Amino acid sequence: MIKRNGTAMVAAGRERGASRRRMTASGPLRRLCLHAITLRLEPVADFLVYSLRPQLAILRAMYDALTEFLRETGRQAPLLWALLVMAVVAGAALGLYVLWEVVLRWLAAAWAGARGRE
Amino acid sequence: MFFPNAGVVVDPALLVLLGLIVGTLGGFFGVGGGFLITGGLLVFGVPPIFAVGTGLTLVMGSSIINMLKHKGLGNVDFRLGLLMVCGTVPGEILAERLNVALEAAGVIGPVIRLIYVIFLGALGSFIVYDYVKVRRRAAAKADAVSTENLARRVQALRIPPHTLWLPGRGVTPTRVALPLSGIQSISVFVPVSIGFGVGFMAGLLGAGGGFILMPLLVYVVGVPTVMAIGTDLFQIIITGSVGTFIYALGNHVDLLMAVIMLAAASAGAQVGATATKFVEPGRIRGLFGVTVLSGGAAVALKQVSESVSRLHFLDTVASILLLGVSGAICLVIAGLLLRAARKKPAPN
Repeated sequence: MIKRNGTAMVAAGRERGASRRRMTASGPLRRLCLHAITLRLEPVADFLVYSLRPQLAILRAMYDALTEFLRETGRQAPLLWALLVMAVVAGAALGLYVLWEVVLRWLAAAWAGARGRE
Repeated sequence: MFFPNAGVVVDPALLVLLGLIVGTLGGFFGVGGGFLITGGLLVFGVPPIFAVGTGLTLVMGSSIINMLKHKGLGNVDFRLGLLMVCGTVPGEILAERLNVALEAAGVIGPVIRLIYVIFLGALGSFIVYDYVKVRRRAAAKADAVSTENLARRVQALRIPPHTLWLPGRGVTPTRVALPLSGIQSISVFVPVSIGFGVGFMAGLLGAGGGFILMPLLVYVVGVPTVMAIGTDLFQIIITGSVGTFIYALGNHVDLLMAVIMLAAASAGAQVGATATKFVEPGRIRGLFGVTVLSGGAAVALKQVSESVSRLHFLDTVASILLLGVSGAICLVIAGLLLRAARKKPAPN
């Protein structure tokens, strides 16, 4: 009797393990999670797009204007374009260097401060 | 995202990834990464002429950031850099003339690729050989190379004229001291000739020339590795600027693409340049040798794909190989930096 019960319990345990493996391996659990994420995020994304519509429109217009400017300057004024490219890249490089220096120094100071407090 | 000048749609995430790799390798090895950027942009579907033009623009920008970072670490010898620049510009002009002649003869593609394969193969093999040889030697200095005698001989070269008349300075000896590079005395014609040779090769191959100059400074002139990396970047700014100007004049630069990649490269530069402070110079050279060898293999694959019509896919394989190896080396650099930073404080 005990032996039979033990065998039944082992069999039930095996079945539960197999069922869990089926859930994770074959994908229903993954699909369920994806559905949950989609259902939760879709309205949020819709709300964000709707509420930020004016700002997005401004950004879109700015991007279009920039695209037009880059295309036309490159075609119509080659010398000005070449000088502009060099100036923008050199300026961006200097700006990024300064930005990283400031960020890294701030991080180092914050790190030293935290260690000092410890 | 649409890029108006090149007229293509490219995922900005890919450009950010490429920029990160280029910035890290540039800061660590002192190279502009022109060959890597061009290959990467071609894989992303950018037209070839825009890939080269935009690549040179990124080389210029990332070299400025890397050079400034290395200047902060005390790794730039401006005196040596300026001497080399005197030779670089004539070298580039001469190479441009030769390129025009080769193009007229219709052999420019295969000739350049052949030079690339031989050059990168030989250079990469030598660097890896030197790394293994020096590592085997017991009690070798951290920055020891197998060509110390050659460097000593080059520094001792006496090239006439021994004095020159310069406006404002009068009669000036042609031997100078380069204390930052640890050179007590050297003829100015040595760095000028090296600059000329590098400018010529850079102009011929359409690259910044960093992958040639860094080993030349280390193995032939005897400049310490980290100093060679910083000074090399100063030189690349000049070659990169000339190339950018020429390609931008022809409207073959996509500014938006270059700026996006530059922003990512600036982050990679912090990792690469800082790593040179912690990682031992011999290891830097060893990794550089592997990168150069993978570059040579990629160019060889490209040549095979052009020669055999059935093997066109090798062109993409070449770019992916180059990007894969470079990405892996970036991870190694980040790992070495983390390990070294945990182990010991910075040596300088």
